[in-house]
Amino acid sequence: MKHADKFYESQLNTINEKLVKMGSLLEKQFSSALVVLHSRDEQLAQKVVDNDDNINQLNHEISDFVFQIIAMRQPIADDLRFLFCTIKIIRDLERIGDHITSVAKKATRVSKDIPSEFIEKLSNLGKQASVMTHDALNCLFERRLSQADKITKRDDVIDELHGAFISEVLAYMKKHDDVIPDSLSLIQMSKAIERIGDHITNIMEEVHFLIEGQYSSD
Amino acid sequence: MVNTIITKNLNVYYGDKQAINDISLHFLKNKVTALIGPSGCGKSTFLRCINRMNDVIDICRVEGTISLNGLDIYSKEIEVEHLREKIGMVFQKPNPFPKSIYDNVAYGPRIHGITDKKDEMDLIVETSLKKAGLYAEVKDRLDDMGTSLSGGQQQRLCIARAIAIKPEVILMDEPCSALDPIATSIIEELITDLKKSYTIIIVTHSMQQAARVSDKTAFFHLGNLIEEGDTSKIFTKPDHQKTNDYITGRFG
Repeated sequence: MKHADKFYESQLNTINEKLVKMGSLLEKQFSSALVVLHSRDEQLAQKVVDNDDNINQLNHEISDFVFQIIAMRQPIADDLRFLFCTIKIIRDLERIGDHITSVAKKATRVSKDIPSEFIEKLSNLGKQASVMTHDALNCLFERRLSQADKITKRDDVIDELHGAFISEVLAYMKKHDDVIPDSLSLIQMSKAIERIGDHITNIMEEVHFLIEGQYSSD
Repeated sequence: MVNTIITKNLNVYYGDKQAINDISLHFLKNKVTALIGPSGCGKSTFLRCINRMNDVIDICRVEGTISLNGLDIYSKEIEVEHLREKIGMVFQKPNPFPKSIYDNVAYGPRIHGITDKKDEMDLIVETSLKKAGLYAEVKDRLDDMGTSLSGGQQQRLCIARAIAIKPEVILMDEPCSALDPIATSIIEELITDLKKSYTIIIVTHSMQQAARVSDKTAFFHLGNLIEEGDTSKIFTKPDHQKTNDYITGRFG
């Protein structure tokens, strides 16, 4: 049911729209960064860096807007839960944006001599995180928790893949001390993707609170 | 947790029209319960049943039971005057008597025969005004007319008048709707203070006020009780969609 006050209704809709925009920008950024991983395309990497400003901008716009609504409308019940979660979720989204930018920037620095299987593994890790991001945003926008378990499991997969990847890269570094800077970049990229998984987990906790009115006991 | 007031299957009719539909509710001792709901939902009718103010309305018929400390307040043995010694009321608009501040407070104890001694009455007046947070402001002009006070002071005078007869329950029907934000916050602070000694039931249209002052909230709609529970729960995650829609302003 819509709010009797149409202006209030439109204010809340605006926040939701901006949140959707932030999410879709982020997904686009994610796929570009994964392309850079393979192509080392510096122009595309720069585009990812530049577009991150739009995500940061949306973060500020949404938080200013939520702040205004809290002050002017004193929201309660599901409206309050939505605004409260939004404030927390946009921080995670903004941080995810930073990690994606970091992956795009570092990807351009990795030498072509690095074995392609490392790039493949990173790319697979990135895809897992990208799907996870997509699923979590769907849960948020559709206000449903049906995907929650699947998303949590995917985070476990990411953590495992990340751990295994680090071990492999370390072993490789020991044998090839001339590629330490590249190997370090690989580790940093893997870490960035692993952190994205953690932020998505945070977002899912907020979605749980938004829908159920309490945090998940897990 | 002790229940002071319990209503069981309460039905209230005005002629053919049913205003309250089978409401069973408990009111905890020393707690503030807020009754909320859109205009015409029956919350004021419900409140007025608790001290039998509907008795004077000829077409009003009350079925079911309301008990105060286990005694049926509608039973023949209970005299309405005696009941109102136990259950005081504060109304939407401050309504001091056209008498002095002193006499406004002393009126109840006098007619209920609580005391006829001057020094005892002085003490009741002083204590009641202190409890209502008004004494410091009026102690040097107790002979001034009650109506000469500001709106917020008048409402506190009415609260002092209500508590002078040492009731157990105070009913408040939108006590702050005619007051400015400062006077409102003084009354709200007072309500929180008063609940230590009394059981308070407050009807309010202000969701923020219900959230600020009450421990329990009951939501009425079209004469039905939709939901009741802890205020902190009702205002963050109510169980019923209708409650959520009403408190967030989604009712057309």
